[in-house]
Amino acid sequence: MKSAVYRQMNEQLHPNPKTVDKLIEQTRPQKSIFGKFSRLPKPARTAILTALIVALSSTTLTVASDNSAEFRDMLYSISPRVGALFSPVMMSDVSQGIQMTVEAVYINGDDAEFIISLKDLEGDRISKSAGLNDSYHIIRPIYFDMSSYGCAGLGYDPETQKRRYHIFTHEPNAGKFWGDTLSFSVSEIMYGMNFVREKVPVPIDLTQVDYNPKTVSGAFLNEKGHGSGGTGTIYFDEYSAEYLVPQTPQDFIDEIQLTGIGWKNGYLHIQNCIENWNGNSHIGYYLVAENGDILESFTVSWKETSSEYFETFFEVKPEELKNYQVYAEYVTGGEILKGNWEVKFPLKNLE
Amino acid sequence: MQNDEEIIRKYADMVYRMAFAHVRRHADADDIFQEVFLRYLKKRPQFENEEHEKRWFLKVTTNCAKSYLTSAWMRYFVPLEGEIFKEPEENRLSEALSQLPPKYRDVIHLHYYEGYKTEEIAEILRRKPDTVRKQLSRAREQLKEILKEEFS
Repeated sequence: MKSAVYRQMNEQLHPNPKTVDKLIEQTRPQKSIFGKFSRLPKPARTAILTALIVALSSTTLTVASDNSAEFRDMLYSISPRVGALFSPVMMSDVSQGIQMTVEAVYINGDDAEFIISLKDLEGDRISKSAGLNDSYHIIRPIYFDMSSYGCAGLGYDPETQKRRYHIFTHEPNAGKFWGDTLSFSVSEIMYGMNFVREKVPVPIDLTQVDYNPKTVSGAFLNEKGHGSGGTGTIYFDEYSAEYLVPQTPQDFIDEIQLTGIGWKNGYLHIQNCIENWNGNSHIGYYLVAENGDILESFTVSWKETSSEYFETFFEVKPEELKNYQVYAEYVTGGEILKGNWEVKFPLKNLE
Repeated sequence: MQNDEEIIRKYADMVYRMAFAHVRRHADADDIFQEVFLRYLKKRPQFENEEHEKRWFLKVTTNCAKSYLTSAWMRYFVPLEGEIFKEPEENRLSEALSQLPPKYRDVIHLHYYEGYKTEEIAEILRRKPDTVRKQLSRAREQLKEILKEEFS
């Protein structure tokens, strides 16, 4: 095998031209896209956008359902994009006293997006912190893998007591096999979590950092399932890093325990542990300077028996530590409700 | 002075190929590709020269690819794509590369495709030169083992 083959392979790889165009579109002033258009009445905007979508896309599908102006306005209130592109569905299923409604859907090529809502018909389990615990699936005639997917909360409406979510999925070649119907299902709902999404100061004293902490090599990660992720543009090789040897856990925030804080090889380390981890609780740290600047960080997590460890690394010099205050965002608590929520709806091809 | 469109067009293939080297799937490489340029548009970093600019994109691509591959949903399920290249020999190499750890694929790509030396790769990936040297050597050995052929 020659390295020329590797070069030859790579020469065949190019990004999707539509993706490139979409990115370039974002670099252009918004005014040129919307201009007078945004001043048109909403029904007119809807009509124009719908016509544009039909004209531009040969693979867009919609559901066969009513498309009332009132409902369309609700979709617009989520975002102009949702209002313009999504088709109303408004079909529900009830399990465990909780109603799951598929409110709207947008299917384009290999991508499918859903607006769904949850409402507790028997109590107040569904609040702004309720989540789907990654338990949603798409069922269609041909198995849909959802090779990548994500879910974003759209807030809680106290008036209707509904919690809404925007779910997006992608499966290569899915666009060829959508068929006439689609089912969306959820099997677990997580509720009762304590979400602290705004950065709050936490009681970590950066003048008391251990500068000679006991550490172990990151090689141990090779034998474990682990996760990692960074903020901003930091690149961090978790296998080459050193990790704090966990110390006696100290109660910290709810079920999150502090197991170490130290400085080694150019990094400040903050290590936490959550016993009997439910897959949901986690903590993210920020070092914030007086002027509000936030230092980028990288976090690695791994499982040890029934506990999950999180170690966050900040590239910072010891003499600079005094300039920072530690802040955190975290999610704790939560109970899982198992059920079977499934909505099946018809699709109509707009080709 | 280059505008954003020129920058995107200039580095589109390079970013996509670096992302693909790490994740080995078109769908994922597409997502990472978008993420890299969205970070660029959000941050608008100032570059000292063209090489600095190029290395920034390579570094951020490996960073995004790494975060992507270890995100919650990717940990559950990563199906492989079928044959994606024209020649059988290319598909064999692609399959062999898929069996290597992503960190090895990064150094392979930066060395064999982007043409960087060990020290330069270490600088881009923020690894020690010794680590990069070992990773390159182990990657070659593993490829050789998988392909039962010389990769030079």
